[in-house]
Amino acid sequence: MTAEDRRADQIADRTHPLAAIPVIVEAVLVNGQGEWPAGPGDTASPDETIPPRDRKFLDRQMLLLTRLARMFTRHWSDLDSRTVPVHLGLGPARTDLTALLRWGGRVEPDAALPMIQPAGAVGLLPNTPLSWLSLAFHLHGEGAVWSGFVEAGATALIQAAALVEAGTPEALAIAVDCPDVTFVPAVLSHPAMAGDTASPRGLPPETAVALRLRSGLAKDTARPAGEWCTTLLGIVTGQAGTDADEQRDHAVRAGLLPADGKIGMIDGDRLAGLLGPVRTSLLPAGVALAAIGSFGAGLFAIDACDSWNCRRTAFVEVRHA
Amino acid sequence: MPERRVVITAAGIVCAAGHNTDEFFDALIAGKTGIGPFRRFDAGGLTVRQGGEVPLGCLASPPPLPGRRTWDPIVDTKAVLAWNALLQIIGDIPENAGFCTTMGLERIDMDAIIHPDPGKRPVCPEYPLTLFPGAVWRSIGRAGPVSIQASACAAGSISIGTAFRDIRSGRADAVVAGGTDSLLFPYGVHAFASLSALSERNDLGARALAPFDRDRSGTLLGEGAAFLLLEERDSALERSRPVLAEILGFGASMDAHHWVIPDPTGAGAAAAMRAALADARLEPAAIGYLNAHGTGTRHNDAMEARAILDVFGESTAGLPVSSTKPFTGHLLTAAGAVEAVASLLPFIRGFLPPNLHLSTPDPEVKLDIIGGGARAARPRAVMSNSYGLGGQNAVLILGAPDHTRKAGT
Repeated sequence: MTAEDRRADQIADRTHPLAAIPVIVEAVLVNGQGEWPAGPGDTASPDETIPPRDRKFLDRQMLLLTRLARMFTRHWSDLDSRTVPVHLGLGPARTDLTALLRWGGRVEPDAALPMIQPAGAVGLLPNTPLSWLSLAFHLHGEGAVWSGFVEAGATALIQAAALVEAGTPEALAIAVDCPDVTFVPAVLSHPAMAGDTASPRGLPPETAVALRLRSGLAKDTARPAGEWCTTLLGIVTGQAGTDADEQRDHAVRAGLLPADGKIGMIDGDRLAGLLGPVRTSLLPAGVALAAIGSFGAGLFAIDACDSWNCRRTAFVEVRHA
Repeated sequence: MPERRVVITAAGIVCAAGHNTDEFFDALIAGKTGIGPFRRFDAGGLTVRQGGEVPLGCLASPPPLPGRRTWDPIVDTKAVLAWNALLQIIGDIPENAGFCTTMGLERIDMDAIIHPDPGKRPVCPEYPLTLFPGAVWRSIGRAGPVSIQASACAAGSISIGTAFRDIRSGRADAVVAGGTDSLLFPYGVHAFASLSALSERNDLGARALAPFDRDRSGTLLGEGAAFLLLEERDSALERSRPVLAEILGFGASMDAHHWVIPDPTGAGAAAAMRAALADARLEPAAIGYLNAHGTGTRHNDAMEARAILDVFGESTAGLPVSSTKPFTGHLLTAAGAVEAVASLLPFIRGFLPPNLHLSTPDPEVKLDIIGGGARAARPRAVMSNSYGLGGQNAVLILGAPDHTRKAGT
């Protein structure tokens, strides 16, 4: 089947593959269950290293991102901060819950307005976490923030991988679940969401994940024995309603998997058992766990379905050097 | 496989300067601003009492969606604006098209919090914005993936730019991209004013927003929505779709300089322009018009002028530049989308939009700012800049519908 035939087939199926070339994946992840890779230095108090003028802008989500960024700058010391693109997936609704609770029904408008200070206004901007990352870690490359539940983290991963596919040497995909500043206000305001877009298992745990994606041309780069080597083969986007076997068939037809390839399906339930019911970070966290070696060696399909019945399935190959 | 080209085949817009592309283009050519005193709420207690307000009474209400049966244009402004911009192109959207939009800040209605009425409104009364794009996309029978772009004032351009990439690479064949935003409620206006970004010269009326003027005093907020239908060029031509323009390039960068203030050197802004030019494989001299971010703040306009000079060098002398924010106000996350529509004007009507309210050009701004009225011209390629608070920068390059790429590119 030619590339054109494959593309026509995929379009007919409403699926869109990514990655004509493989993309090498490395990951760091922070979760209530722990962090990977563990190491000294992650315990530094944010207050000791963050300039006082910046502390007033930082909410819990940004502290989580700071911890994550400290991890990836330490582990990936050769990362070129001047050029590396960053696509960041954040939860929805950066509303100020503290302000809501403090003000709720107890002050007059004239009293409320002066309480809105520049720091508060900046804190509400949806891109402030990325601005903070770029400031604190001197990131000058392309930067973009995606908002939402599953789709936000998935889009961040897809866009970062697409850049590598198009020839950018490397890119970062980052995703965060932080219920303090994202999820709680939405559920408070719309309890029906708990049964609609939210997991009945409860609020997502605090989770932050960063994936470093590099050109597959570096696939054969020698790695120390014992390291996991993970390759993102592609991401298929399509309408949900298909089962795992059909997703696998799509991947075979897209040329992402051999016809007789065995594959491990990793869905939200399996990830929830490892991390808790993550949402925004679902797809990147699944890829990260694969890269960490949580599922062992082999081919895996990491499956994430958003609230609008749109499925993104990332196909990764994990080897042990 | 030859590189896929991406064209714009339809555009919908609702803003203070027009409720569709024809009205908007007429206003741009006539020099008719949409900025005026706020009428939707009592702004007497605010330091800023004007902006680019859209009369909501004549707008259609979005369809009932899961969890939401009715829509209140006052509370759900962004959803109503988005729906009315989408309606203008809805018949043209292919079934498998994706949807990429901005949704601005999740609005907290301070009035509802301060005067709670549990029988009528929940704590946070606006329909959660995250739910709207996907719900409305499925409600109109479209199957493609939905994403929400949230990179502040650069988001509209990033929305279009990433959709452009998705089509060019073959990940999608059609995407509706753009954005919607409104901060025109007391809490929103006050929050933005607290950043010292808004002009408090209410006495000047609309002239308070004067980008690149020596006496500029800040920006004014606007509201609205704009969406472009992006399609793969050959597919669009096969279906005899009208081509309004071609997207030639997209570039982005981050300042890493300050929470709010742009890097005064313009290095980040220049990097985004250079990235877009490289992506389009064009030399600076090929750009025949530049739609500037041009907020009217002292920091932005000085920085942007410096960056343009840096990138365009000797070509700056022949480069007409204008900001269209004096027509609409600053639409924040939707600004890049609205200004992409404004950048279609030269291709569709043969005019470059003017930079309203330029009384005394800033001597530090050594650019060919289009003062006075619209200027007749038909450039082959135009650039549109968007710079977000916090330092995210994005630049689009659009080409004329019959733009011809160099052989081998």
